[in-house]
Amino acid sequence: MQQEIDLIAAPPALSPGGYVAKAYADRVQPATKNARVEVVRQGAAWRIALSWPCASPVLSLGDDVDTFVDAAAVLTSSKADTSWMTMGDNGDAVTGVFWRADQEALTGIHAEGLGTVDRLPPPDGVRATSEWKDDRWILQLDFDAWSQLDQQQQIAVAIWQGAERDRGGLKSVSPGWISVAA
Amino acid sequence: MNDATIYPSRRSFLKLAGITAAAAATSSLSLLHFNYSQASPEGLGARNPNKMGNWQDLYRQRWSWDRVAKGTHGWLNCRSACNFDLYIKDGIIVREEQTANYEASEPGVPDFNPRGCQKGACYTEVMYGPGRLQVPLKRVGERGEGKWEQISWDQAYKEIAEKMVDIIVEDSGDAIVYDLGPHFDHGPTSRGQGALFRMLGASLPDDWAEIGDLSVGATLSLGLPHVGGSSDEWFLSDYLVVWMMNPAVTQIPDAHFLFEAKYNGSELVVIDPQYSATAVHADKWLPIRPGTDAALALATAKHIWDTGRMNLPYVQEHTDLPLLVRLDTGRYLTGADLEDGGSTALVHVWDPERAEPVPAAGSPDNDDQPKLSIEELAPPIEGQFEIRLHDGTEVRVATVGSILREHLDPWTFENTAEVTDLAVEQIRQFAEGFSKAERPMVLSSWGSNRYFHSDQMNRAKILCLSLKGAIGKKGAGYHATGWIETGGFGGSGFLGTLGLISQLDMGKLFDLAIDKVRGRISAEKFKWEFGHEASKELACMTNSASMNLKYQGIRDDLDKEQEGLYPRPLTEYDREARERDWMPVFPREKIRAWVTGGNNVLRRSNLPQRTLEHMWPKLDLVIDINQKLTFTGMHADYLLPAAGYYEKHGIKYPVAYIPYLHFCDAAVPPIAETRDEWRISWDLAAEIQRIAIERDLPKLDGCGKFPVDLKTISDRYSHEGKYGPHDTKAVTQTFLDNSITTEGMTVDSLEKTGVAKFKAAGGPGAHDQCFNTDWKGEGVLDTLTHFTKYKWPWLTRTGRQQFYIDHPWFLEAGESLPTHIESPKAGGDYPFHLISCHARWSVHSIWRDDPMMLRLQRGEPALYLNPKDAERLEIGDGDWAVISNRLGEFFMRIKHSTMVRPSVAYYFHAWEPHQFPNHESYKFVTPGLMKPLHFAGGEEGQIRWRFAQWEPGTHVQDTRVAIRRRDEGAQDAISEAGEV
Amino acid sequence: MAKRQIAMVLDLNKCIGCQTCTIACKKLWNTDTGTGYAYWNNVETLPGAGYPKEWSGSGGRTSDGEVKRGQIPTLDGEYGRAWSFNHDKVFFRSGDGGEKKPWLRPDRKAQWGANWDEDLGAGEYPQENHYFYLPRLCNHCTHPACLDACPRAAIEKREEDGIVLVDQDRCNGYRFCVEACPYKKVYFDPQRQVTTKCIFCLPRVEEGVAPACARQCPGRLRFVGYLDDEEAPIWKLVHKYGVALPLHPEFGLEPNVYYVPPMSPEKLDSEGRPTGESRIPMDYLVSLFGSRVKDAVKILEDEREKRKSGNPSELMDLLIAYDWNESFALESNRKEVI
Repeated sequence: MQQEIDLIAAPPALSPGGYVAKAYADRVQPATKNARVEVVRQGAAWRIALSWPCASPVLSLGDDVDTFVDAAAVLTSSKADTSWMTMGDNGDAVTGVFWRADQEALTGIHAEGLGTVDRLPPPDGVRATSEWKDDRWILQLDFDAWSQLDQQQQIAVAIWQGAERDRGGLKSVSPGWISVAA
Repeated sequence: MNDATIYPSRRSFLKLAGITAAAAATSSLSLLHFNYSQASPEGLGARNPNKMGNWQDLYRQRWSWDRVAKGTHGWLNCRSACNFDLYIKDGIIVREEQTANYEASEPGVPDFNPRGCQKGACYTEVMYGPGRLQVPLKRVGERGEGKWEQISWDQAYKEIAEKMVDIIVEDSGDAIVYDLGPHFDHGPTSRGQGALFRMLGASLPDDWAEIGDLSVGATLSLGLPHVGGSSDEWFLSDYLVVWMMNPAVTQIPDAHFLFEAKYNGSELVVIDPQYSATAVHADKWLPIRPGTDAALALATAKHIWDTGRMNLPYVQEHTDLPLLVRLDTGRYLTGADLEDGGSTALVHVWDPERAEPVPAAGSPDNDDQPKLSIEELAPPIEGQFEIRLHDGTEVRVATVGSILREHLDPWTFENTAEVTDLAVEQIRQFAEGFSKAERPMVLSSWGSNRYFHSDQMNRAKILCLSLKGAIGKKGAGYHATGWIETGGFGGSGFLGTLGLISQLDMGKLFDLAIDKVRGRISAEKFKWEFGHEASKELACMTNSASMNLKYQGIRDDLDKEQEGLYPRPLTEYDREARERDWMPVFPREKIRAWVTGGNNVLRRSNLPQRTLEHMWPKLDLVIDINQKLTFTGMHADYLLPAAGYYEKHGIKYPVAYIPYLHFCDAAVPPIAETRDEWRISWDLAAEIQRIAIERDLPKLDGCGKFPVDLKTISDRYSHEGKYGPHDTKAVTQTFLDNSITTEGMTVDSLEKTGVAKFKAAGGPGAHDQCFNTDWKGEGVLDTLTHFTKYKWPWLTRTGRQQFYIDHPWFLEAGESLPTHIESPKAGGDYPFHLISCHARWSVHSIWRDDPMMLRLQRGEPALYLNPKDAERLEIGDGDWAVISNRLGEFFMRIKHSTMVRPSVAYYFHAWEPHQFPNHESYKFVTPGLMKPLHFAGGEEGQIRWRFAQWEPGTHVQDTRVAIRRRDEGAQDAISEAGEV
Repeated sequence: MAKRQIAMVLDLNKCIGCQTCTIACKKLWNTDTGTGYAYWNNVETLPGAGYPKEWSGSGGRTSDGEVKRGQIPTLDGEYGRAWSFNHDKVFFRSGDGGEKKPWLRPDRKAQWGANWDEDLGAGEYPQENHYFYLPRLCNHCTHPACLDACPRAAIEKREEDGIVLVDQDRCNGYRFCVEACPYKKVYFDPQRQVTTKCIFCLPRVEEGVAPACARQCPGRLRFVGYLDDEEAPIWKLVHKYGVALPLHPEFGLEPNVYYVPPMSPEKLDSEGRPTGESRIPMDYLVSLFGSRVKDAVKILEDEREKRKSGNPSELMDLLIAYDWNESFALESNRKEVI
């Protein structure tokens, strides 16, 4: 599967707490307009390549306090109709991996609704390689196996542009689940 | 030269020294916080919070410790003393916090807790900081070049001892200068260094006045300069005048009493050209023109007199206002005038009934009335009389009061407003408030002595208080920092049981003793005279200013700066004072070695470029025994790393502000190869004795006063072996055992409490300045009741508070009475008055380079300008400026501040020259004037040299400079360094 | 809503700007690399831009109660970096051909710091120049903007004492709390990549020991205790006499740190005559503490007048704090023994 996806801004109104939803209500345009997704299945293994435009990459925080690094997440659902924009729901999880430009290891993600993201140790059997060139990030994730994806055959992506101060719910996301069926 | 011997960098040096723990502490102390076991905060045991349960336990573990010790900042020239708990983990003191175990002195007065300041609360930053010396170093490049090799202590001792012995053999002991102050304590450190260098016959310069701290005005007026009780006495005043002091910055632990007094109903007035951190809390701030304080005081004195609010009985009894002065000579009318062979010391008052002069009560040589009294005669303070002298001459005499009143006449509010740049109404309100007060009090700090004519300002201020009867009255008077004597300094600490008492001038002491036995003088006066005699005769004490004038290459500069100010050039006064033996000046012939216990002479001296050019090359040996690197250390030959304040036993020098003894525990062992000074001196004494015996040296000369026996110096240092190199605890206990002020105190108990309230204010030596024999550790410590309650004469030439000085030099100069004289323009006639303030962020140069402190400033020295001045000069906030006068120029960044008076430039002092481009600070343009009159001597009263009482000093506050924006394109040290 | 609320009162008439509080806090909590720039407690000179620079009102709420978007201050420009210094180079020059006489200075040009405009103040000398010191710490607000801002619910206001804490495990370092706090009292630690803030010295308070900033204050200007403890100074100063006021009440967060407003010497007229009016403009105090500050100042002045004429005043006695230990009314099984 290979696909060019137009991303949308995750609706700030969905952010938990009283602040982000209101303070960032005007943030309706995605910081990352689009992304290219390429998914290849080889037996049990999955290779997911994600690339997106990024003119000003942020590779580390350094000792600064007001910078945010570039990041991306690839998730799959528990059910075919798991709610993506809310990061799942109680008893209906979204799971996947989270990549940050300043970290070697990936972080596992498990969420069952807004504000419930748990960060988990990096899942076994998944490797990331990333490269920034020609004003684009190219992130390649190699899963030895991803049984949840085997079942659901759909992913969603989220991208955070550090230079645009994306973080948390301030992100560009796929408008919904993307089928990875070949 | 072998590269490996050059000190490469501090980090690798730490490895060399093999001190992993301390090194870790220095670079990343904080990392250790999370790894400790814990305990209960009860008592002084360890604190062990719960095992790691959740993230909150990270914080709980951070506030934990293995043990707690007591400490304070002993070998530090800070007038405060504050008890601290030292929290120790894995052998490192991770932080300190005030113990706060003081009690209120008496009901109705706030307590002293929790004394401390931001410096004391992070001394560990200095102790484990980047300026700390850790191993003995020997210079391998040129002086000041920054090239060092690490040497062993044994090598250091051997080379230094041999050099010092050579110097004494070739010349004499006084060719070695041991820079006495301003760092000192009352414990083993002062005892160790003081005793060693005293026995070597080394020159011991008293720099009290040199650094501008001596209240000469108080000495002239009261006979003693260090006046003042405990700081909670401030709370009792109803009219508090902070007059040339900034307690909110320089007396941080005590400042609260001022603002609490305000809540208690007192009026708080701050007189300062600067809208200081103290002034912001005042009821009234008087933005006086710099250097005109005497004028304001004279107007106030006149107002007190004019309004009849003078305390007449007090004035008659305690002051010189009723004393008679001969109008033909200007001298006091004495017994010698009235009777052939009469006493020149015996002064007189007018007896209206007998219509003739009679001896003044309390006058020296008035055996009938040795004490002050107005019971039999309340002498008039105004009047002019014709009298006949014993030789038949008819002369007119007048009371000091009459002369003074006439002298005060011109000081109307209007005239005073002209001089001080204050409004008439402001002066009137102040004078009204002062004159109506029941307990007026003036806080006048050491910093009030840094103008050329500071003596005049303080004489005038004291006059106002005397007219109100406030001096020696509880809750009123003059606060200029009093002292409590202990055994560790002036008394047994200095002399010890060294067997030197026999060297005193026993004839003189015998006379004194007879006076005492006959009740002509008090026990305190006897002690006072004895102590001063001892320090004069048993040590090669010199006053610093005279020594500097002789050796630092500044004579021409000062003669030029002071040209025309007095009838003769400064150096003529100096010459006369030396010829008449008024001022002791050592070394006599040659200066060959300079040894300092961290006193940083090249930082504190004025015109240090002259010292470096003229004096430094004469020195064969420069040693800095110090915990940290300083500008002086950078120009030394040997750096001997000393233990820090928490690493050795000590007794903090005791000022009266806080009448508790403050003990310093050796809470942790000295880091790396550092050693405490008692031991360093012990080891040096042993090495010197070994060499002397080896060379079979005869008794040598010190400074012509006493023989120097190097073959027994170690035996005497150690009291015939009684005190070993590690016996600082026993030495400390000995001091405690030898003073009535510390009666019953034990080191064992102080290890637990850190402090103990003094049992008395006056100890065994000459440094008791409280003169309150009733105070036994209970109640607010008020002072000078010896004179006001017990009516003993004041320690002046007349036995009275003295406002008329009839010394010929004073008469010649027209300064016999308190008067206002304009501040001379030192450095030339330039538009800015450069004024030094004591720093909030350092105690002199300690903490000055500490990153934690610098981050709360601007990282670099700053010169404060009023924003309007800065705008006119087009110097932005933070920009570099060039500051210059005829003595030179230096660079400093400008800071804007509305507290600054236009045409004044303030710096907060003690920046090291190496914190400036070219290593040149404001000191390089500050001549440090010396008032010629302070070289005077030859009187039995207050005008005679005595340690820390009467001596010439230097005055930095008269310096004038030009300030201009640094040209951005300039090729200079700043551009070379790539700085902007 | 917490069941009880711990609170602090700071008497600005006693603050001397010595920053012992700043150091007490710094030494205890913020000596790690990532928090070098961070001062949970700082003291700033007002009027002034403060720390971080121009912090006031970035975030919080409008007067209508609407959430305002805030900014994250920058390290060099607004907080001020914890500069390193060149001691080694200055003291131990090894002839490596570097600067001949390097002087001791920060490793980079200093642009701002936690106390940058110390003693700057405002107004024409000598008529009306003025300044005062304002110590600041987290206000442990009743309605904390930081708590509201965290999409992770990582910020908690404790039931038992109302202390506001950032859960160091849950925090993801998004820094919405840093933005949202109009007092700018939440700090990001770039090393640990979490935000941190004043914990009201939680481990000490648990043991009945006052926070380090309060207990180490030599100016004796801080009172600590529970707002509902009618026996203790806090309640009396805040409620009984109404002289202790929160900073910027208009931010709508109901701070639990209160200030006794500063009095100041008399202004002078153009001829230098005293005017009887305080140097610090009342309008300025109102802009900081709200309009109630007028009453507070009046009460302080009236009570002081009482005392001047020899009458008792409980308020003055409280502010004098005769027995310093009584400034801290914390419930604990332990006394002040540390």
